[in-house]
Amino acid sequence: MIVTSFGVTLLAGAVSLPLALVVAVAITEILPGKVKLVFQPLIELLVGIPSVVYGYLGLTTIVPALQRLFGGTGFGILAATGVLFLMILPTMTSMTIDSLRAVPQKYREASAGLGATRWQTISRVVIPSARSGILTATVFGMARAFGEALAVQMVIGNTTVMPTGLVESATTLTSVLTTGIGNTVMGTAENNALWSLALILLLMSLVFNLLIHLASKKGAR
Amino acid sequence: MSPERIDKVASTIILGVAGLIGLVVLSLLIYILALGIPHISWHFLTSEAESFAAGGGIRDQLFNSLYLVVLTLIVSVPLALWAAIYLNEYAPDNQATRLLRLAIEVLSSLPSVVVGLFGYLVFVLKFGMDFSLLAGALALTILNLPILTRSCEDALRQVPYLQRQAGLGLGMSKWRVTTKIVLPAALPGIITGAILSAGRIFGEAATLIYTAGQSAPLISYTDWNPFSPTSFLNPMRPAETLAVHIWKVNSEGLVPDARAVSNGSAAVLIITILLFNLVARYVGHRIKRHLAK
Repeated sequence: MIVTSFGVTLLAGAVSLPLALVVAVAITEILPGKVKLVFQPLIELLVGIPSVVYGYLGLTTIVPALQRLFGGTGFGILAATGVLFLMILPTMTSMTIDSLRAVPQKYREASAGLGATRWQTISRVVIPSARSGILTATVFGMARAFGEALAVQMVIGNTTVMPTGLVESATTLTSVLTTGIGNTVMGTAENNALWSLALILLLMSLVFNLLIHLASKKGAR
Repeated sequence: MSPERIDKVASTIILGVAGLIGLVVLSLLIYILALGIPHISWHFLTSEAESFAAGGGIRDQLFNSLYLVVLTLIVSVPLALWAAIYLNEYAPDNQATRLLRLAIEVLSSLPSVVVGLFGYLVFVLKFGMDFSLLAGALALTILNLPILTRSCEDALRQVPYLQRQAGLGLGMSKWRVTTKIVLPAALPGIITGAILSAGRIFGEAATLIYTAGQSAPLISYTDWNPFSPTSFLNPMRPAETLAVHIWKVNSEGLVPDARAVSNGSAAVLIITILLFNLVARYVGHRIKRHLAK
């Protein structure tokens, strides 16, 4: 379960990071200001969409698509990754936009004054100086993915086995909690095991917090 | 390749990928709405949910969601405001304050299932509230408090320091400066933050499964006595919200038209949250203009 939890989180984070970065760069550095006025509320809306809706969306679109592509049930790690990716992309994008915007305009002007092209400015000046913010956004998005329960539970298939492939049914810490707690009796070994899982989840979220702190402190220096 | 060419190519790729992502996300949004909107009818919004038969509505779930948002805001707005005023206006910059801020930050990143389980242990079992709206509202408060505190604090921080100095210079006490000058100026930000957080509470499900419960017992909308067990105002009754309903009909439900019900419910959820966002924007603008006059 822990392996699946981490796997799903890391995969979602790894897919979202470059895409969030690309969208953020496009919005802050390349597109004209008017586009921002459209994008900003749209991203805010996407951040606000409940996770259940993302889960349901995964259930109706991603799972059948995977079923057609790979056979089997379609439920599994890949479906969960897809749902989490959709879920954390808006959050990460908006945080990345904030950190790119925090880079002083003077840096860009100085870089342009040295004769650098826009791409050189973006890749060598803007992104490096916003690095800690981007890192924070990534960890934050992954923390959210790690703790997400219902959306994952709806698409991952819920079988407690060591995952062997990306399209096999699996289960994460959070999904087993949502399905299990209500069906076990207080005080039994199974129920106690579930509460211990909740503790692990709590500790993991503390670790993620620590990482965010480290990331932002690194940038402050 | 010359730097100019690389620049052109890179810009094109970035714009292309960004456009593609925007298109995919937008089409997903439209897909949900297109699936759901045809299913939204007056009947759907105003009839009870069915457990086994097709054709159930979401009246109770929709009301529960809204009522829960109101209850949660009643509890969390004053708390968050007090905390924000303390942190921004009074708190000295020392180790204890920093610890407090850290605690708020940790609280804000707790997985919602963990908050739900905490609510189950403390409110439902220990305080004997059973599965109830009140337990759900308190659990949501835990989830909502750090976010709301931060947005209140941001709103307070945006009030220029000069205004405070002017107030103090006129001989007002710090408390009067806070309530008469800082709070009114920060009000648009606070209200916007509260409405945006209302949207977030509205869609929350994981926290509620084990606190507000998953059942919607028969309630009567003509019974205005909040202490009667069948009254719609009674905060001690178990209540299933819209988001929980979507989850339940998809994973455990027995209704034959689960698809249609969840399509409709998902669309209602998104439209409501869109409304919350728009209202937040509008109110923020409106009050700002009103104050500027």
